[in-house]
Amino acid sequence: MVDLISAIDGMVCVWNAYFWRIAFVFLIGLGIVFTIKLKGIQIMHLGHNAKLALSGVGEGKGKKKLSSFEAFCISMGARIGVGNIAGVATAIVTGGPGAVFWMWIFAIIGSASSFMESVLAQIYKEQKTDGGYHGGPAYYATKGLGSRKLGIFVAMLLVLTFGVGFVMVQSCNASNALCGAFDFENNNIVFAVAIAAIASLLVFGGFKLIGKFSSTIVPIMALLWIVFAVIAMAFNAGNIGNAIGMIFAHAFDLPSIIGGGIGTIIITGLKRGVFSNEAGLGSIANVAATSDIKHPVKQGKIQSFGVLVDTLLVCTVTALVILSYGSFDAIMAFGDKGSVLVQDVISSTPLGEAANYIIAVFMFVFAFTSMIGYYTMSESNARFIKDSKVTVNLVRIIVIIAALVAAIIADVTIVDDISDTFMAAMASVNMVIVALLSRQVFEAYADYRNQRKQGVEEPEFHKKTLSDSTGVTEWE
Amino acid sequence: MEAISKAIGVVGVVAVLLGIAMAYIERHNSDLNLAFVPLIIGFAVIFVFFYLIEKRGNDRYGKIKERF
Repeated sequence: MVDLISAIDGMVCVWNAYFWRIAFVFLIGLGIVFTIKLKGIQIMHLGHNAKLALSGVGEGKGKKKLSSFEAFCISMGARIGVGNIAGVATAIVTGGPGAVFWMWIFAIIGSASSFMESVLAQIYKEQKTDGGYHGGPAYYATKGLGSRKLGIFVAMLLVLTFGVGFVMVQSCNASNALCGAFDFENNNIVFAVAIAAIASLLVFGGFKLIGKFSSTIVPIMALLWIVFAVIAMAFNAGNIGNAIGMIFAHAFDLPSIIGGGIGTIIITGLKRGVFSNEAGLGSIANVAATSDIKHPVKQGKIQSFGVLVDTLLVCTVTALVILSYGSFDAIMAFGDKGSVLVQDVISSTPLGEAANYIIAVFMFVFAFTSMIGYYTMSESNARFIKDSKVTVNLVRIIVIIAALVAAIIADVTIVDDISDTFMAAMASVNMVIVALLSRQVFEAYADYRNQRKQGVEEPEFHKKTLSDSTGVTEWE
Repeated sequence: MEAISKAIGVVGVVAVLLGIAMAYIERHNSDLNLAFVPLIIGFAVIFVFFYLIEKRGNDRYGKIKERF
């Protein structure tokens, strides 16, 4: 069994390396282009973007469609999860403290890509018989580029990335955190079965109700995580300056204890950053499409702000908790990564063993709320391919098996490699499609800006604004 | 297919190949700095890729009116 897992990991590792270098060129190259074209909208309009994200509370009430604020909360629920805790710990162990610096840089670049994909998702969204809006990469590829085959390919890739890869990471980290808190013989098997059983209950019934609950609970849990992390950090307050110093000092070189080169730091920062904020992956575009707003650009601005909140705020807090423990060698001496490392560090403070249980609860809630989000996205894309019970049940079985296998393997490295490979393929394909349809986004943005310049407080969008509105079925 | 659409396709494939070259050099060569050569060329190619997409749009529909 161990040999088989090692063989699979060896193979995936090679694919992972090649796919990520391709994704790197597209994610960062196009992210820079979008940032330049949009004149740094994510930073220059930060205040306005934040105001938009928090001001749509009253929109869309009493309708089946979501308000932009609700869509923001749901997307933050999807973003904030295991990646913000375990992902940051893994980034620091594999890429050194400097990986955090690159996570920041790529979050800033990625938020322009998030703007682009969210605006596209809004432009090409479609109202279904349930009264709600649906959209995302599969929709804009099909309707914008006029290729149903490409849409199906993208939908399949999305199911693999989120229904398999991301579910595996969530399940593995939740299992590890539980094993770290409750130590007994064969605990990983027990927790794997428990996780798979709960996942089965969720996907075969009731996930919609819990999905709504999770969109409410996750922002609260994220705030609680920040409070908990700040308390943990306060015990090592004297080391915070050193922690920040380590991030910058190791931005261009790896600590000798890890070895390797700057490529490792940069790629680690990119992988873990993208896993956390999901910029350019197309997942947030699926959520962005569901909101009922007057102008697509509004949702783009809100989602680009979400990327920054996720990485620059939540991930940074986790990074500072870990790095304020002491020297990098002392952190590496734990010999752990992922959520277990966070448990090691925080349980060494006066919070003691209680920290293990608290973190296990956070990981458990985040893992399941994210899994629900990923499952919902996978089901929606599976329905895009073929809207039948067989397809939906197939996706459900795939998700449950992925959760079970990952929790049994309980090896963060292997599971990360599998997830990263799918993520790289998804990001590359999505970014190329976004680039090919970028004119529509720039035209929508020009329209938004023109209306704002004319003093319109809340710009409205009509599809006639676009020079080519083929495939746009809403916005009459 | 228009010549410019073909060019966009070709440049996109070149960008993919440069990513592969970067990974290959990293895996088979101890000199990591060498791996940054295809990466930098890759970024340049992405700029060309985007320029061609923009040019195709401008040729078909004209320049976008608002400059921001």
